Amino acid sequence: MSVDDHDHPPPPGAQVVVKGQLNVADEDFPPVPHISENFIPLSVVVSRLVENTYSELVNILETLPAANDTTKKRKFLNFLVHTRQQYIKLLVLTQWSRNAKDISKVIDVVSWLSGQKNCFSNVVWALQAVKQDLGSARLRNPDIATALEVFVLGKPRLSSFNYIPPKSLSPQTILDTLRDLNVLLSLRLALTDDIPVPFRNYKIANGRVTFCVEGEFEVDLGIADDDPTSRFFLIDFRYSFKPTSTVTPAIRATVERIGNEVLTTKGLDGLYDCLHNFTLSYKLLILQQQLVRLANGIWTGTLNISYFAERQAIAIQYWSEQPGRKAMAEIGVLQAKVLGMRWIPRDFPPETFAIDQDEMSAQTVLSQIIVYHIQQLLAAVQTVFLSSHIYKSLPNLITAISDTKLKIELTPNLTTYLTVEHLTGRMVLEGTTDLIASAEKALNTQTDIQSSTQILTNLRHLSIQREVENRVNSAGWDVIKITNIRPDDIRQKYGVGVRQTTTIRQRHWMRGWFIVVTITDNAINLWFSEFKPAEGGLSIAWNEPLELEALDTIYSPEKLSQLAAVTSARITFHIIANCLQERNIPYEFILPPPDVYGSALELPSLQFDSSAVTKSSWAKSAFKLEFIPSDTKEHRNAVIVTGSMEKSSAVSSVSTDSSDVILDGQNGRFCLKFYVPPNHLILQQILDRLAQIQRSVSFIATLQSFKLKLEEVSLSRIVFEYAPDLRMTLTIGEQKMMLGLSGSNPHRRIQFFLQDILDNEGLRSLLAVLLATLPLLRAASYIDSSDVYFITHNPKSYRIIYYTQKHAIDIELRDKDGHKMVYITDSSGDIPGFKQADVCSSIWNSNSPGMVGLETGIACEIDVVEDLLSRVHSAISS
Amino acid sequence: MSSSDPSAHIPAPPALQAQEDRLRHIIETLLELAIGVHDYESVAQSKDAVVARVNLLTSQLSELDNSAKDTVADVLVPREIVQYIEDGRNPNVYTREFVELLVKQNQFVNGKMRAMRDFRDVLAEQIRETYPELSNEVDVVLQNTGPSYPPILTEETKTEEQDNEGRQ
Repeated sequence: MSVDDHDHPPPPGAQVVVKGQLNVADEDFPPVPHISENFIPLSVVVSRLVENTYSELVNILETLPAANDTTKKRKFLNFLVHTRQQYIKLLVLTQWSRNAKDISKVIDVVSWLSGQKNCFSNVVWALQAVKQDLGSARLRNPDIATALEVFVLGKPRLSSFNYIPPKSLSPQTILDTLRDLNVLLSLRLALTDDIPVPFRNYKIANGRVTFCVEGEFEVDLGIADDDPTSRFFLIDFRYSFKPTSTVTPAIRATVERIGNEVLTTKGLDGLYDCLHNFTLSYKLLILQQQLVRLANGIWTGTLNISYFAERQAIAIQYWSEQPGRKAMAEIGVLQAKVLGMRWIPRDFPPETFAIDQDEMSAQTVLSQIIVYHIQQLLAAVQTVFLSSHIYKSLPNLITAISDTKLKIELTPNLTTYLTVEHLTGRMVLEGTTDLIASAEKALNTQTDIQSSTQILTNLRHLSIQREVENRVNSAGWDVIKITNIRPDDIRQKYGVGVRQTTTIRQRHWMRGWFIVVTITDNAINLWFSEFKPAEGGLSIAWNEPLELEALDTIYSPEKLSQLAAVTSARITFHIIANCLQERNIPYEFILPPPDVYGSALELPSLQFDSSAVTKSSWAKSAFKLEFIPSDTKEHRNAVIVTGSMEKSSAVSSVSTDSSDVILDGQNGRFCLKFYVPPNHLILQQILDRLAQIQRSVSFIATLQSFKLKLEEVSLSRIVFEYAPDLRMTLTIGEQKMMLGLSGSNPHRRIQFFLQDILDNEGLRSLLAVLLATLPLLRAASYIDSSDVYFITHNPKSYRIIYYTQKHAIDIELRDKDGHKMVYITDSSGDIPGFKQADVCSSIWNSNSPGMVGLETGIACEIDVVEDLLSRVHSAISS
Repeated sequence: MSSSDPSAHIPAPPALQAQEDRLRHIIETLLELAIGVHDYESVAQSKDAVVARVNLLTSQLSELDNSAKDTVADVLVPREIVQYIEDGRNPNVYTREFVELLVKQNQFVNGKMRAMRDFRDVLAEQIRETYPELSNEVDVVLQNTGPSYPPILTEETKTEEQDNEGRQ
């Protein structure tokens, strides 16, 4: 419990505080005074409570009978509960009383300690009083100097406190003093060797030395006495860098105060360090002010300036609007104790620049760093380009024409320049096309330099594509936007790495045929392709590379039209070849050879064997097909078929009704021209025409073999004279020939039969019939009259009926021993009511040469039949 | 008081223990009497029980009073404690506060005494220096005002003080 609890005896208070420290006889100490006020014996408490309880109990018991049951109970119970509480409290008190003695002692000690505290403060007060009292014991220091003055002068010489102006110095005195000072300064500076290096440049004038530190400051110092070890005094201070600024009075005062302090303790070295630092800070401030002006001026929004005075640094963030390209630079003091600039960009290694110490120009500083940044950016773009695979194929795509400008060749005609805007850091592509504009946008949103080459290459691809489209469009081609070519097909047919495809075609081409311009990173290729719809887009059904210098071709109108011609020809010939194959006609490409697609702009030609399409031998060996592109006169493409044929005057006499067919029988050559229809299906036409020629040629040969006179020969019409003044016209149609006769021609009588013979038996039979029947029919033409009927059964059998005379005669053409004979017989007996013509019996029995009498008829040669018939006719008619 | 009472660990002197037992009996009797009164019905049995209890109480009270005069008359309790208990507050709080006050004052006075003695030494030195002729008188005063303290408290005294606090 209390500290001295277990130290009985001795009890006293001193022991409490420093137990064991004092060896002074303990028993001499008086006991701690005991406090008994406010203490009451526990027995008193107990007996008071007991008495109280008892009297109340008695009181309750006495008054109980007067009340009713419930009230009694409640009253009694209240009393009992209350009393019980009182006794519980008493119990608590009794339990606490176990400590009572100890607590009493604690109270004693506390009280004694309080007394001690009072003693101490009394002591302190007493000491204070002693100290005050000692003041009056002090001896004053007499002012002997003033006392002497008073003794000598009769009054003290008091300070005037500058209220009385001093006498003005004469100019001469000033001058002399200054000169003296100059001399002293010169001597002093000449003799000392601890002038700091920057202070080596000084001049002495007007009693002061001026140290000039280039690009920083000038400071004037003076001296106050001639002791070479005495200190300098700072007199004036100026800045000596541009832009010139004056030292404000407040700054001058501060510099003077601090400078003079430094001069006393650290001398000239210290002064230089101090002023140098000050000037550096001031320069920084100037720069910062300029930068802030810039940032609030034209650089608004792109420049952020923060000034860290404690670090002596300005942080510059420029190009703030370019999230990927904005960069930081910090202007501060370099190790060499000059102002410098540290460039801390995100993508490049940091770089330190010196700042022109003589002239502080934020504009210069800023442009120095930005130009450097631009150089780095463009150099990086170029480096990325040089290291990319594109460079190997297109070394001229990006070339630097200056540090801050890259030249980018998009197409041979279109060049753009890549620069970076100073203010904003935006990449700028010179040029006005929408492609360039969108590429520029991409360059600025894309912060990764790696991808810039890709963007520029893409721009090139698109520009080439655009150029190709424009060129071919103006040359009359159609540019068709086809986007759904199957990617697999593109890879397979055009190779990997195709970035852009452009499909162009001539308007008259068959559907599905295109020239495809593919642009890869390093090449532009032309392909000649046929597309067919397939699942998942268009598939490339047929493909042939056109080995052309693509851009050369695109830029030259001649080459473009040549290309159009050649490709049109290729399509036509491709289709012809397909048709030939379908018909199993062997063919062969002559030029270009089938396997070599070399010299691209040569027109193709093709030949196939004549025997495959014609059985006749009019044409020798092969037909050769050549392509004639449309020219200015005729805007149609044509195919020319040439070949050689047997030399024959007959064929050469064939007049061709147009210039499309030339048959040169003299030289044995022919030449046919066909215009190519939009669907290129020309072969049938060719074959038809060839068949037509074949027919014509064979007719002519036949007619010539009959030694007939050909009056008019063309591929569609042959007119020949088979007898004096008798002509037949053969019209050669697509399928069959029609024969034609003039109105007076005796053969008109059997024209229908003749046509039939021509159709079924051919021209040779027709001619034979024609010649055989001519005399007969010529006779018929004048026999036939109003009452004589000349009836044709067929070209070999006729009947003449004389209704008036009631006679009938049959005429029949027969072969007898390979010789044609005409049999004329009286056939009146066949018809009822008719009778034998006796008038003819003389004729029937005549036996002249070429006639053989046959009783009721006669057989004769063909050439005498006309005469004979006229005799018969005149006999009957008379 | 419950067994959580720290003072319960200190064995009570026999006189106090007996007094406490008596009080417990009275409290018990009061409770029984209260139950008896509560359950009281106008029958002879319950009436007898109540009367017996009242008599018991009376005799217990008498015994308590008499024994108190003999046994606990020398036990003095501060009036403040009586008031504490009357107000229903824990008397041990009073004890603790007083002991804490004692510790505080003890340390304070101890510090003062050291400071005073140090000052005495400094003053003595200065007086001796300034007025060498008073040297003898200074010695006498020093002699009478006890020895100087060691410069700092030793570990021993520290731990003892801590022990003392712990015991409180």
